Amino acid sequence: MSLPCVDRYPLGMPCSTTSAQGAMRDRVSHLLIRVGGALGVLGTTSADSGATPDHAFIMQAQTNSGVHVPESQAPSAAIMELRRVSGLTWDQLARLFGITRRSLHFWASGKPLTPAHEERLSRLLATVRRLDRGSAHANRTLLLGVHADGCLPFDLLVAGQYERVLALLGPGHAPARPHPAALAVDARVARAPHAPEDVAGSLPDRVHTEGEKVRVPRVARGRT
Amino acid sequence: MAVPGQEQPHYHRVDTALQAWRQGDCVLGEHWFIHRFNPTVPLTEASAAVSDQGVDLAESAVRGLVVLTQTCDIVRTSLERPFLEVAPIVEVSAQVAHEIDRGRRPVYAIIPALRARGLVADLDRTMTVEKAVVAQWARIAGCRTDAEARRFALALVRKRARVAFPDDFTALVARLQARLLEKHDRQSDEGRALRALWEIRVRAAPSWDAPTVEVTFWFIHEEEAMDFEGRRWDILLDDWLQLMPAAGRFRQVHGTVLALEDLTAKEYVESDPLDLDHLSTRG
Repeated sequence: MSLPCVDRYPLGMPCSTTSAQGAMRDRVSHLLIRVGGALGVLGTTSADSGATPDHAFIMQAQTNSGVHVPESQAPSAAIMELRRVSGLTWDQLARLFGITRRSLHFWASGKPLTPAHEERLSRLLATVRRLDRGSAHANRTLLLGVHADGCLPFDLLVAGQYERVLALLGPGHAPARPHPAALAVDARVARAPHAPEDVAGSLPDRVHTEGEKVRVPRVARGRT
Repeated sequence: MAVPGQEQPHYHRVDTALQAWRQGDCVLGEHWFIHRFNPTVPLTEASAAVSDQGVDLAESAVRGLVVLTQTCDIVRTSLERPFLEVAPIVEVSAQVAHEIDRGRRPVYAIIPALRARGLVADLDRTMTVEKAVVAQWARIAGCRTDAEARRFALALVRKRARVAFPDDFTALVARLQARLLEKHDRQSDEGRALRALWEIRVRAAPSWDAPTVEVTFWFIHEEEAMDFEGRRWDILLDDWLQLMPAAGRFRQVHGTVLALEDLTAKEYVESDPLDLDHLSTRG
């Protein structure tokens, strides 16, 4: 089988042909994507030995019955995570979905996704999480690097071949990110910017005068 | 005249006296602020008052002086760092003090310990003094907590580091700015949502002075704000972007509403806060 290369595959095709589309359409009604539990399953040997990671993800997402408690994630948050982890630009992410960058910005701002796009987002995020090397730069380099067969993992993602990407790149085993303690309220306030209303309307003051006394200074001139 | 050597004990005395001083500390009483002027074109009351006396320096009495120099430089030996930068302390009305608090008057900085007396730093005027001058002042701690010291320092940064946006960009965002500031528009969702944001940042690619520019706005909301009073952010975003249609060099205008934690460090570094002067007061 020939592997997909740059611009060889129509965008968005895999999502529209998956058998899970109906189930995913049901899930979109509450605008949540459940991915954490699916990833927990994907990370175990039992899951790897059975269904494909994609199927395992969907089953887990549908049944919500994994060993690990799944986390709920709004699509906008999932897009942000996909962006942070993958290191891909907004334009590149838009290409993964076959949409414009403007549309992606609106999704990230909370605009609902179609069920097909939501499913695709779930699959992409699950894939990127698995191959995460712990650095956005490393992940982007990995996805955009040309393999020996001349193909880019990025193009495989565009074509919906998530398993192929994972097989090519292997799991990432990224170290867990630290979760530092929250700042105190006053410390956070001290670092906060002024409100947009105020910084977008700064008043250009005139010179401040209070009718103060004035005198001629005693001056010694010199050169340094 | 020879500069005294390190062995001179007065360096040590000055350094010892300065160890307690911090950025934002101040002195009150009769103090004098000096500035140079052109005697043929005096621009201020102070310079006009003495311009006929054959001088090009004027000294004005001020209510006090506040130290602007960073603390690490204050406490370094005066042999290596003999100068301090100070600004005059001026009195403002309660209303102006409130506006300084909010960041609407970047010319001034709140001195927390003097806030109740309406005394603030006038950052438009600064003066260099030798540390031995400050060493003999009766120190008043201007900032009492780390948070206060940070706010004071940020006021100094903002006075010096505000981005000079191109005029055509200022024109591009004029309607958005007006929507932010409209006093009679308190009831519109998009106006109130704009004012409720944590920050608005803007990125220009490839650069602000390029022949064609792609502009991206980051509308940053509080982390837990999934919507604004039940109205979806993307709908508000559409309203906001319609206020800034692509024009001139700005061929593309993008925008996203996101939480601070969703903005990457790269995006933060590559963008600037939308910090503008009030257009209606121009010219």
